[in-house]
This record gives sequence, C-alpha cells and structure tokens, in this order.
Amino acid sequence: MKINLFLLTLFIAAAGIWTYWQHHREPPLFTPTIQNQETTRGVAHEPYVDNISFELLNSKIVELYDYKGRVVILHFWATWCAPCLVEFPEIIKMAQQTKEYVTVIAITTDKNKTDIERFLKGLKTPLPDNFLIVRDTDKTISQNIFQTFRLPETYILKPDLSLHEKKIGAFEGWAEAEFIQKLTNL
Amino acid sequence: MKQIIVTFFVLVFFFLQSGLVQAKEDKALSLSHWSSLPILYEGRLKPIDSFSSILLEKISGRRSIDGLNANRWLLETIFDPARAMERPIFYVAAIKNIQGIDEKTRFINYLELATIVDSKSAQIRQLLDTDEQNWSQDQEQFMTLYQSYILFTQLLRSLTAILPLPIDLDNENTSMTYLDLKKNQQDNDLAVKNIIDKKGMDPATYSPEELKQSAASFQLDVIEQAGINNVLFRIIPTQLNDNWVEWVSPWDMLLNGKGTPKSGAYLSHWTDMARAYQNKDQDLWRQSVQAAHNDIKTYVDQGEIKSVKVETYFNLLPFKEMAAWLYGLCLIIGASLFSPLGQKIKIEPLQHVLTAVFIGGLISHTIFIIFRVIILERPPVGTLYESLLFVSLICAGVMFIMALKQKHEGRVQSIIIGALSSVSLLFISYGLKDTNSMPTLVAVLNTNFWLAVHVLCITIGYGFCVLAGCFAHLYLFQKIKNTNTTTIQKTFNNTIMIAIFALLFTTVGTILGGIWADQSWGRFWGWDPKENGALLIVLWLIWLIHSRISGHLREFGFIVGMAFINIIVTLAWFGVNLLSVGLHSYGFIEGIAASIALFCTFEIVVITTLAVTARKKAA
Repeated sequence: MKINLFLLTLFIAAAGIWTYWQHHREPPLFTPTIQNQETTRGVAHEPYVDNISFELLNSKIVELYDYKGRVVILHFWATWCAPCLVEFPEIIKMAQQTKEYVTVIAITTDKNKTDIERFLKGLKTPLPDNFLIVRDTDKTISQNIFQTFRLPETYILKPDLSLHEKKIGAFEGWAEAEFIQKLTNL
Repeated sequence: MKQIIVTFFVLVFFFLQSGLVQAKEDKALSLSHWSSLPILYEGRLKPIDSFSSILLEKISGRRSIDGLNANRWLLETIFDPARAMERPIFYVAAIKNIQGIDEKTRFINYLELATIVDSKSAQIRQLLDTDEQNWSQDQEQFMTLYQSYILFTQLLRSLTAILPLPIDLDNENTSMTYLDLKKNQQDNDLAVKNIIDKKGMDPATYSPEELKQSAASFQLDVIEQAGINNVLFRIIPTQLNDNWVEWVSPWDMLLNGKGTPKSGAYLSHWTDMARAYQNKDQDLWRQSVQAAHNDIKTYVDQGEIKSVKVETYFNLLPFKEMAAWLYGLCLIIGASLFSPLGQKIKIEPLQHVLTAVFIGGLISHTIFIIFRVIILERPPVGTLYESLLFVSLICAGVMFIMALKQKHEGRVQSIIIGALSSVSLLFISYGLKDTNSMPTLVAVLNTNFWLAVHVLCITIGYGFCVLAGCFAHLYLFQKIKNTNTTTIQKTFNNTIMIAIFALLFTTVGTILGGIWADQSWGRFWGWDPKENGALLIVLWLIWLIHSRISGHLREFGFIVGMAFINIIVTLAWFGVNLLSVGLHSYGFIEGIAASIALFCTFEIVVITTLAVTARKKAA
C-alpha cells in the first residue's frame, strides 16, 4: 500500500513538473496547414534522354551524346515567339562566359530558314562556338520527343546528360553571376 | 482445433466468392492490370482501381452503375466519352423540384443534366455567391449534383488530347488526335486565315477541303479550351528537376509545359490504350498496359509506388464487408443458441461454429486495418471514420481475449458482445460519406509522433467504454431474466474490470493529448470541446469506480451509471464535432445531430426501462 502511495505521488509530481516545464516553453509560431502530396521521389536517369541527331543551320549533323562531359542546355525557341527573342541575347551572354563547359543547343521550330538567318544577323553579339542552332521543322524533336508545345522551354542537362532542371517559359537570369556559378557546379 | 478448421473454411469461402467475381470482371479486357496503374488523387498515389471507386461513389453514390463496375465505368468515361455521356449515372430521385425530370426518374445521364444545368445557370451563379449555410436542403442537394456534374465533365475530358477525332486532313483515312493537329497548328491557322481572306466568314461558300481545314482549326481550339484547368486525372509522372517527379494530368502536361521525353513516351502508351479500347484490340491493350507499367518502374522510385501495389491487393477483397457479415452471422448464431429451440438441441457444435465465424470476422477486420496502416503509412486513427473501424476492432479483439478465458455460456456471451459492438460501429461507419477514400491528413495530424500514442490510447479507451456499457446493459437484462447469481456476478466483475481499463486508457490518452496539443498548438489544455469531452469520460469513470470502491454506490447504481457511458462516449466522440468550435476542426461533421439525439433518447429510454423493471423484479 505504501509503495502504491509512493508511486502515485511520484507520478503526480512528475506530471506536475512536466506540465509546468511545458507551459514555460515558447509556443510554436504557427500551426501547420494542410499539405497534400503533389510529388514523389524520382529515379536518377543517366542520361535523361536517348541519343538524338540534330541538323545544324549549316546542314551539319551532330549528336547529343557528342557533348557528354559538358553541361548541355537544350533551348526551344522560334523567331515568331516574342519572349524567346527577349531571352535569346541573355543566353548568348551566358554561353560566352561558359565556353569551356557549357554547350547551348538552340532548337527552333521555324520553317523558313531565312527568318532564322535574318534574326541571327540582327543580333548585336555574334554566336559563340558553343552555341548551336538546330532546325526542327517537322517538330519531331520539340513535340514528339520533348513534348514542347509552348515556347520558350529549356532543359539544363548535367555533364552525364541527366536532367538538372526544366525551365518553362522565358528566364531572364541567364547571364547572372549566381546562375553561371550554379552551372559551373553541375 | 475444430474452430480453426471451421474458420479456415469460412474464410476460403469468402475469398473464393470474391475471387470469382473479380475473375468474371476481368475476362474482357484484362482490367486488373490496367487498374493497378498509379494515379495521384487527394494528395496520395493510389491505383486507378481506388480512384474509379471513389469517383463513381462521389458522382452517383453507387459502387457500380448501369451494369458496370467502377473500373469499366471509368474506362468508358475516359476512352469513349460520347457513350459515357448517354449513360444514366446521376442520382436524382432524392432531389425534388427539378423541372423537366419525371418524379419517378431515379438516374439521369450527362446530356440531360447538362440541359438542366444550362437552364439553371443564373440560379447556380447566385447560389455560388451566397454562403452555403444559407442554402435550403433542396438547394444543397442540387449543388451537390452540380458538383458531380463538374467532376464528371473533367473526367470526360481527361484524355481528349489523345483520343481519335473525326477529322481526316490528309485523306488517308487515318484518324487524327489533338496532338497531331497541334503539330500543324501554325500551317492550319495560316491556311484558315487565307480562306477567310479569300471567301469571307460564311462556310457555305467554302469547298469541302476548305471546310475540313476550318473545322480542324476550330476543333483544335474547342478541345484545347475545354482542356484548360483539367487537372483531375493525374496519371503522368513528369520529372522537371533532378529530385522530384510531379504527377500531372495529360492536359496539365501539354498546356503548361510539364512534358518531358519520358512523360511523352508514357502518354503514348495511353494513346495506344485508347486505340486498343476503341478497336477492341486485346494484344495492343495488353502491350500498352504492360509498357506503361514498365515505364513507371524506370522513373518513379519503387518505394513510392509500393503502397500502390499494396492497395491493389487490398482492393481485391472487401475485408471490411466480410468482417461485418461474419460478425452479423455471429449474432444470428448467438441468437439461435439462446432461442428455445437452441436450448433444447445439443448446442456444443454450434458454439464451435460461432467461435470460428467470430475468429474469421476478427481476421478479416485485422487484415483490413493492417492494410490501411501499410498504405497510409500512419496509425489507423486519423479520421472519425478510421476511429470507428479501429474501435470496433478493439471491441472484437478484447472480447476475443475474454472468450478465450471462458467456457460455454461465458464464451458465447463474450463473442456476442464483441460481435454486436463491432458490427454496430462498422454499420455506423457506412453512414460517414466521403471518408472511405483514405484521404491525406491535415499536417498537424500527419506529422506528429503524439498522434500515434494519444489517439490510439483515447480510441482504445473508447472501445473499452463501449464494452463496459454493453456489459452493463447485459447485467440489467440478466437481472430481469432472473439469471442465476453467479452469472450476474461474473457480468458485474467483467463490467468493473473493463471499466478500469477504460479509465486507464482514456486518462493516459487525455494526458498525452495535452502533450500533443502543446507541441502542435502551443498549449497543454484549452477547454476545447473535444478536450472537455475526453475529460467528461474520465471524470464519469473516476466517479463511478471510486464511488463503488468506497461503497457510496451499490452494485446496481454502478451498473446503471456505467450503462450511460455509451451516451457520454457518443457525445465526446461525435457530438462535440457538431459544434464546429475549437481546434479539432479536422473532425468537424454535419448532419448527424438527429442520429445522435435519436441514439441518446433511445439509450435513455432503454436503460431507464431496464433499470426500473430490474428494480421491480428485485423488490
């Protein structure tokens, strides 16, 4: 009986101390809100996409896997797409600063070659060597493979050609130091 | 041993029964493999099988409709929307005052409902602008129907981007899809512009080729407009960065730039499925479904879709229904044992059957709860619905343990009480709509360790309270029936023992609830209605048990008080949720006030009648 009383007292005392301590702690700042799951974990792909052949503006054929070991930026654009034209010079600036480790493959869905050439001639800065213009007139690459229906869109692939990020719409921060540093670290 | 054999046969019978139904359904287009593909709905990945059941129940309030099970219905809706629009699936019998609908009509189809919605568009807009609280019952029912209409509309348009269209631009008799048209959109638009420039806006002046071209351009626009904001059917995993896969609907993927090479390939399998469904091509169907399964494995973490697989197995058998039926069967066997006829014949074999059936129910019930725990990766007590399932299992489990320790009449008694309490709670759970879909919990419930200990403790306590209440009723009944004193004394001892367990669990659970509240809400106790309810149970039990121990209450008084615990538990468990006050907002419900009032009145009348009659008998 004495032991029971002792245990009961001990329990009540412990509960009292615990409550007192809890009350003097700082309360949390907010109550968590409803959070539904929208994403799941992915499986790393190396590389992200099967090898693809590109026809350059000068009719030369190159392959995606030729650029393994470099950061590859697959940029989808067209001369009739206004946001693309605003973004384009920024990508060139970035390419100029990252010649050693980045290759930009700019894929246009323009059907008329002269439209592309006229646009490129009008650019203030010439294209660096690591900036390739690819034509995709039948949209096999843009729509059939990459599911690009709205321009501009850009895939940033790591040196092992696995995906780092897909950018939907125009991005203005291409030439910013912070972004270039991010590319360096890939 | 005898019980084990009988239990085995009972379960085998149920499994076979369900398996045969499944096999019949699968004959035509191997549905089961398709329906185990994952989909993200209500914040959780689940098999299409679960999605179709939830949606059909939401839209029509049925588990099967017009001779189709949920999977077949979904298959038709997404792959053959034109046919699906003509199928009567909207339940209107309960809704009064709908113009143009015969009073005897029970179900109407989408086209009929679309006409009604169109004629009432002004009224709907007005209702949407007013507070739901001010809606009349008719208006509320109509708006529920309207929501079903919106949901079904989304579903009908889920895959319109990949379904063949009645357009043949290249005269090669090949059906085109939205995706094909989209590829040539620029050329088409230019061609249509030229036609308009040349011939104006009147299609009557167009040549057949020009008409075809204009129609294609128009169709593309209409289909695309209808696809905007269609995010219901999230079947496509798309990887937009190096860490996460986002689950999107086909339209979300196409219109919002969320497509990738992998997701494009995955969508093409669905295009093949659509073609296979429409052409009744078994081989193509099998290949495309298998290809979709293979693709999922390559870019979604296996751990993430593990629960989808488990849920597919879970959906194969109706464990909950099996448990409810087996418990119900126990009650029938139990009643026959106590009937005059049962008293005359040799009852021992029937007792074995009773035990076996009860064990069968308990096994099904336990498997049901275990599956839910694995699928949801959390304790089985996150919602009011789940607490009912869990408490009913506690009741059955505790009574099973008690039955093991008893023989003959005592064992039968325990089993009947276990079956009665369990089946009643399971029956109530069917009344809670929209909760069977295993929804994602609000974060406060989903992230905290204390949920496991606090809510489990409290609900176990509820279970013991329900049992104590049942034993108290039995005691009063035995008193009236002039049962021998030893049996009555046994019932009393059982009641007090269970009451002590109830006190232990509810008290510890309430204290742990305080700790949880402190961690989540920053205070230990806040006189919240739910907290007051739990405290009320604890105080009631303390009062009864201490009064009995100290001699202030006699055996009869204690029993009458304990019989009332069911009312207190009902109020603390469900009643306080009706107040819609306090921080336990995730449990708020509506529309059960009348049922609670009815139950409480019924209990008061029953307990009073039993107590008065028993008193008179004793006198």
